[in-house]
Amino acid sequence: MISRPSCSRLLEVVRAELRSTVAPAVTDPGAAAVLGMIDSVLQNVAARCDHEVAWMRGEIAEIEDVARELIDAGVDTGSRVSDALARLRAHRSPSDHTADVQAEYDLAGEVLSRALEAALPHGGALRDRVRSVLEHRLRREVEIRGDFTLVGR
Amino acid sequence: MLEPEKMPTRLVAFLEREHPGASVSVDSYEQIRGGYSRLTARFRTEIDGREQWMVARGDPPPEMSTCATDRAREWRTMRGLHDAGAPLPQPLYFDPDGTHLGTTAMVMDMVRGEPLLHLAARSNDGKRDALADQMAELAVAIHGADVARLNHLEVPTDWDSYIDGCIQGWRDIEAAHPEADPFIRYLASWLDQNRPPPAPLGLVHGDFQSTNVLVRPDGSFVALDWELTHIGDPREDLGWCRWNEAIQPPGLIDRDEEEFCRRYAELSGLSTDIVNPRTVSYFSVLSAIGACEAALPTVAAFASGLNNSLVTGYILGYISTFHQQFLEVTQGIEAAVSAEGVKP
Repeated sequence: MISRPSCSRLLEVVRAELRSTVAPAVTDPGAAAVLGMIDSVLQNVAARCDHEVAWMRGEIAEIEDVARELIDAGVDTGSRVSDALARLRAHRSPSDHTADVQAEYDLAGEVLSRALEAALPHGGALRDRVRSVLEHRLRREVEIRGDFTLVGR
Repeated sequence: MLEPEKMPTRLVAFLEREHPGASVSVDSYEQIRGGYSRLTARFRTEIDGREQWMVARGDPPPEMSTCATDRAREWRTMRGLHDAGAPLPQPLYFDPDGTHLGTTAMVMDMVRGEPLLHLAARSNDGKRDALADQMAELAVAIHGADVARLNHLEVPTDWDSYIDGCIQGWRDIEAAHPEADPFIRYLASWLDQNRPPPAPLGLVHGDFQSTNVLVRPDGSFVALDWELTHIGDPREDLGWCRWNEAIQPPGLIDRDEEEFCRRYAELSGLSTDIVNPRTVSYFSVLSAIGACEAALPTVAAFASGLNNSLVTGYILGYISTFHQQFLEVTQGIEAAVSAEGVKP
């Protein structure tokens, strides 16, 4: 396969062409709004396509770390976090294909959800530690999303 | 509505059924842009020589849907509220199964006016302050509306059970979604542990924001889009409006939140312990349930190939914005409580 230019580079050029050539020729407000949505989706895809698998793997590792800390702190009432963590570890992605890694990432998401539910009532440093993983996830989402205001309104 | 070129003919036949024996004509059919959830169009009618402009509001086909709501429920809500004198367009006709209009659709009187968002954008600071006051008045008018005719809306037994239901609703939405969403699970737990003082339950518009308000030439406000209306905590509307201001400036509430809340409290008779910027913040995230409940199933359908709406792909950015608000608002309230030693 031809790996260079990268997918993000190709999308960057497509977006630039839409902005410089297509957008000025569009006078219909509805079509202009659609073009704005297309640009937003392309920006989203361009931000994800070169890094998505690595980002998910990095976050999975971070979630495992924080889950371990929470369990060690003795606040995993009912072993809900331990159970989700065991399920994650029993269903590792068999490949680097995006769909496989997404499935593992989904299981890690459940671990994080349960860790948050366990940590919140305790407050303090433990809550802040678990929530910091959510903050990292948010930073990535915002990086992918970019600036966002609703188009066509 | 799905085939705009056929709509004038369909509308004539539909209106002739509604007005047996009358002479009916329809022209100037034109789709209205700007809304994301429903198909909307305006048109001119003459029924026995009497001219009237109307608006049709219908469902897109399932594969293009961005928001799963019930048109029959919205129709009943609008009928009941119009009869009770609430500020909304007069609902006129309903095609419950799309037999006549090609899709489930309602027809209402067209209100001549300008979207409040547009008016706010071209107004100076003084005018925006006045618009914010009117927004508070509109909210009070909606929240105080007589709901006696709205017996299709569920009436919660009490405030705590209502909030319990909302929080469980968040958990249910997340459970039904094909991908884990720790932001929603975090939010549900946080909302449960940081409840504000209760307020009397009443009518909640459900999508109260400046894009859903028309300003008539005489300056009066009319509220549109009643698809998410329910009986709940009136602060949901204030919070949802405040939330939307973050992504659709210029805002009216955020110009001076303390003053807006004071004004609303004064008009509604609620105390400022109940209506204040912190409680509005709490409801800015709790109230997002209506939008998420409607949008996330279409995102799931999009992911599996059953939905092909570009809007659905586009609103992923909207969902990230929800996540951002969940964290910012909850941490903001915690910081305020910590700094001031007050309850949320």
